[in-house]
Amino acid sequence: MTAPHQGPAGEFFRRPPTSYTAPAAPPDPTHLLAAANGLSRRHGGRLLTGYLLFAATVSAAPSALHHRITGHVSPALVLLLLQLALVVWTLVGHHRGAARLESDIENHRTADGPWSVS
Amino acid sequence: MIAAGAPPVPHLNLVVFMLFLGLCAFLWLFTGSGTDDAAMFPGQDLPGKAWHSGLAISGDSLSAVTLMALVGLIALTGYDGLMLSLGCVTGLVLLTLLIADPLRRGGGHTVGDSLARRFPERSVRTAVALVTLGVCVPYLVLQLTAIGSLTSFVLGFTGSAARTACILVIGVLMTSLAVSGGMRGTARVQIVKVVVLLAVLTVLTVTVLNRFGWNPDRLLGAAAARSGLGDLFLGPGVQYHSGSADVLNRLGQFVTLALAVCCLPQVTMRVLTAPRGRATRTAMHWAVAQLVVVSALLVVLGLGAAAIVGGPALHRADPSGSGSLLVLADALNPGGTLTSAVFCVVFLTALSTVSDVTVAAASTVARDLSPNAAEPGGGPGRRQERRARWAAALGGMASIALAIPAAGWNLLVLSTLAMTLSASALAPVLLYGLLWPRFTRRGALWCLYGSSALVLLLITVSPLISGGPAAAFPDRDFHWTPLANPGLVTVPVGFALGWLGSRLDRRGTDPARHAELATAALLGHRTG
Repeated sequence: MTAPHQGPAGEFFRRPPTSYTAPAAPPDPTHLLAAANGLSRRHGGRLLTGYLLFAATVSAAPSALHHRITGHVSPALVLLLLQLALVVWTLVGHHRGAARLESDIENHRTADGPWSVS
Repeated sequence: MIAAGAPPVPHLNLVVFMLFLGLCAFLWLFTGSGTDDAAMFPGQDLPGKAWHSGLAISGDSLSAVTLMALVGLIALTGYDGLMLSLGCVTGLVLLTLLIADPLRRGGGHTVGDSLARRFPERSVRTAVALVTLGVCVPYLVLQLTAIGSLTSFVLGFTGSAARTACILVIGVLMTSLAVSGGMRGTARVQIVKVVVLLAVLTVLTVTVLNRFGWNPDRLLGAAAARSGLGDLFLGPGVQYHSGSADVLNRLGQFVTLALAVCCLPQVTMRVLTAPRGRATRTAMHWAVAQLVVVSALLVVLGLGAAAIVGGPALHRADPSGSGSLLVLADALNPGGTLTSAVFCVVFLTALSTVSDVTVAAASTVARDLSPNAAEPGGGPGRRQERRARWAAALGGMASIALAIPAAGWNLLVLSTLAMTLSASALAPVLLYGLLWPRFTRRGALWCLYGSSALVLLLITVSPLISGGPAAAFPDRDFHWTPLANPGLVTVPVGFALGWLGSRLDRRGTDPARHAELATAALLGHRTG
């Protein structure tokens, strides 16, 4: 039965079924918090582990890292460049993860009523 | 200290320095905060763009002493200096990944304030404030002493009276900037400093690279050849050798540096001024990018100093290597204005660092140590603002009084003390407090007081204080540990005490309460 405020029944079938997406349930706030903490721990942990391994290697075996590989580049310099690459990788990964989290938080705010960031 | 062998041009330097002081006076007038009630405290109401905050944060993480020491270490030791440079960058990246977002979300006007939302007891706030002051005071004395000695050398003044006068005048100038400018004023000075620093370092770097045909391998080869170290220059082990104590010292230095940089009070205070949410991340990315660029420029300049001046000549000019940047500038442009420009940049760096650390210490005293400490969420009133300005003035005067006798000491003691305290006490409390739901008040107190006491004990019985010609008391010998960098012991102990104290706390904690607070900070507050 069609209520007076509803349009003709046919309008529900004008949109192709494939384009319709059911409204997603708002993300659970505790899951959002866990995701935020997990994001920090994951990327911070990767960087810290890499840095500690690097520091331990160059501290424990300095004499093995002096000789040149090519030109004036030594194994120690290669390790330093790898560590720099790790810095860039973790920063990029954190940036992407944080952007996704930000969008989930926005979804939650939109779905759950008006919120203000104080 | 720089020996008399380095070639200063006192008259030209004096003229350029006077012009520069005129610019500083203009900055001082421009940055005055007037009657602003919240000028001495970081807070969300301070206007500014994300990249402004980013430049100010990166400026805070690079002090004048670090700037001079990095170039010197790279020039004199090669790879060991490069690793310290990487340690500074890693520290700022750790701040970005682990601390910046939750700290900024938690809000507050000081770090103690931010932690007080979770631990409302007065004891934790007082302990955080005391450790913060324990980091700030040696840091201030170190910067004042170093810049005072450098100024007297560059201007051609000799004798301890001239050095004392320089420390006094510079200290008063920097303290007055902190008192009048507050957070906002010092942020503007930091941004000006970063821009000027980048400009001058870029000019120097282009000149160095041009000398070597823009070929980095040629520069590296010349640096290794003229350093007097040969292939040793290309690997670790020059600053500390390969004995077991050396291995522990080197490892301790790296661990301490990265964790200390991410928890320095002036840096975390500046994070609290960053805009919220996505803008905090943008600010931190600006900060990291700027520090990476400055570090890359310093690496080229350090290698250039070794390649152009030579390691033995640099060592003769200044055994610690801190004067290498000035010596390089003079070698590139003998008798020209480049040396004066470099000196002015170092001076501006010291000015911004000292005033920022003074503001950080003063806001901690006024907000966290006052008899009626403010509520975590409350704003600073006019009375608290006035108290902070008085604290800045008195703290600045006390630092000047300590810096004058400290001019003859081994300054490594002060830098080791400040950095080790930051890494061993502040880092565990910040990381646990922001990221571990089961962290308790007892864990925080054990960590703060226990690791601070251990740092003081291990530095007292280290070779930095006695038992060698470079020690603070060279005629006495009561050292019983070979560790000049006790961070390898104190940092794990700090984390272990925080964990153990929390586990043994019978009152425990309420993870649900923590989750509620953290979720509210993450999502904001419902308005409807």
